[in-house]
Amino acid sequence: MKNRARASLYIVRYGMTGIYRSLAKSIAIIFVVLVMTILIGIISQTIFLQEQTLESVYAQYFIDVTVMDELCIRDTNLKLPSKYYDIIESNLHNINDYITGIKIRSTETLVRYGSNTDSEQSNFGTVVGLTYLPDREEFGYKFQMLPGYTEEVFFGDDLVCVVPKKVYENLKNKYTMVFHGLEEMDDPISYTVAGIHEGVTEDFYCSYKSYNENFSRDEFNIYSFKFSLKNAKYSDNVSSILKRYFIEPSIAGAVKREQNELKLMYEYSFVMPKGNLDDVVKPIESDIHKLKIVEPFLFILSIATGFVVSFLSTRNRKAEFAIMRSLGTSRGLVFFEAFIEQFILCIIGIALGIAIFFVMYGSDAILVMWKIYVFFALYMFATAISALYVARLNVMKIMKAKE
Amino acid sequence: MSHDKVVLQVKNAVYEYRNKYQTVKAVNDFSFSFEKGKLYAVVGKSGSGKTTLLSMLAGLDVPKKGSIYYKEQDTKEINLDKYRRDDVTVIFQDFNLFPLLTAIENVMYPLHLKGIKDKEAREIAAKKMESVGLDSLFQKRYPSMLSGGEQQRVAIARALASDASVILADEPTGNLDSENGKNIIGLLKELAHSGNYCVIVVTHDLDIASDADQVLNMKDGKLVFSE
Repeated sequence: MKNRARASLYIVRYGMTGIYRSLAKSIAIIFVVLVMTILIGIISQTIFLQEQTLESVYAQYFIDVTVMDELCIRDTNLKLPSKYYDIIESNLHNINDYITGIKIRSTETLVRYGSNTDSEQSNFGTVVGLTYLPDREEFGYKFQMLPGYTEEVFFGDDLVCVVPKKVYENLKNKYTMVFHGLEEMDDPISYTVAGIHEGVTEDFYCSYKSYNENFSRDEFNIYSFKFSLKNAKYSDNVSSILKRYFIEPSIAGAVKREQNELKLMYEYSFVMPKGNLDDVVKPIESDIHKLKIVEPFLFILSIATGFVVSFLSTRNRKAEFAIMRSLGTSRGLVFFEAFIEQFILCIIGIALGIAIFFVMYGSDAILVMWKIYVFFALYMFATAISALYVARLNVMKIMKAKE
Repeated sequence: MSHDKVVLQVKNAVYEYRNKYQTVKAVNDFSFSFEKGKLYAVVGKSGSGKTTLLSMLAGLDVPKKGSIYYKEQDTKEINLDKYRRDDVTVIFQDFNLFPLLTAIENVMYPLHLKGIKDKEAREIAAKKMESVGLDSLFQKRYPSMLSGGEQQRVAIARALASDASVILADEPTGNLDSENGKNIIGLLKELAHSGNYCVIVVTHDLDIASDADQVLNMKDGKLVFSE
């Protein structure tokens, strides 16, 4: 075992001697590896920087999507079927990745209301279903959730509601609101008060889902439908999803006359104002796309270079490896010798390449270093193939060919 | 023939390979016993199977049929790398020295493979070089700085350094002038007789063959006669 270790160490020394005594060839190989390293580093770094630029551009854009009527004139009083809410609800998990601030507002329904089921009430008000807590700007007054409740209640089917402050103050039971239907809604329904608003009109707000189930007169009960993109980069993804249900307005004004996935006619459109986003990002995306096409070729080239360089350098030394074999050097040691030489040269080349790369890009360069490691692994893999080739040579054939 | 002296024994060895058109029997039912202390010359025309035989004797290949025994051990059952490291050694026509190693480093190579330390290996190598007529002046010269005869002597010194009992030589004088050729054959003969080596020389030069203790004539892979 000790002798074997000494023999292996000697083979490493033999390799080092070979590198030192054929310096011109060694420098040539180091130079090739160095150039490949810098090239891969520059391309990877350029892609990385372009992607960062793209991210920062996207971060500067806030895109709100609004559902409108067929001709893109109205964004309110849409009378959109409740099925559109079902899409959101059933795909909430996926949609959440792309969008935020889903604002669905229902039509209004006139109701009688009171603080308990027995009382004879003749107060009238309207109920509106929402998926969000409105701000002052939308209805002209301030909304406030009571302790223990958050905006989340609007995205469920809990029987909770937001009531006018003056109604809340007059309630016998401070926490229960009872609604009586005007026509078909004969059975009273109790809602827990989750918030108040300062409006003077007797408007009540509950979750859209609960509105749809308890107050809606028909299924065309969505008054308005808006949401925002989490990131402008999702605009294409969201757009392609929306096109399954809505018309995307075009300059030509052509309208689809067919049913969408909800078995409804394409009667509504969506507007996604992107400003000059496309003009800004398309050239950057195009650059990244081109570089990403080049990148895999560069890695293939690194394998090819590793193979050609090590194959050419070992092929010229076939006789040398054959002598080694004839003197009793095992295939394993011959492989090791051929491999270790290229390994040392490759390490030197990559180390120099990385040093230059760091001088060019500073500490940012560390972020794409893994690509240089991949190059190193691929190069050594190709080298191993050619080392395997020399380890399996037919000694006598080479000796006779040499003569 | 003394059985004590037999070091290599070839029994009904057959080596065949397939080319595009046919199966060729390079060595066909070859049997012979090689003894220590003798110089053998294997002669025959090109394609007669000499080199294939040498390749099998050197443990670079094994017979497809039949066997080769080294000290009664079938070469099919032993570690051939170790066999080449310790028991047989090959000298080639083209000298085949490592071009980037000096003469003494070339001779030290088989010693390093055995795990011998540098200082000891250097001492052994220097002695082996001296034994083939190369003094210390030659030690640090690279093969390209040596004449053909000197290179072949380094190759022989390297063969001796491995301490093998069988020396195989494939056309060892092929690249030498007649005087150097004669010297090398003389050296090999001396090694066989005074060093008790079994030296097997493959050659097509009948003058060289005449110096051998025994000549083996091969034709179509078969041993035609030995004298």
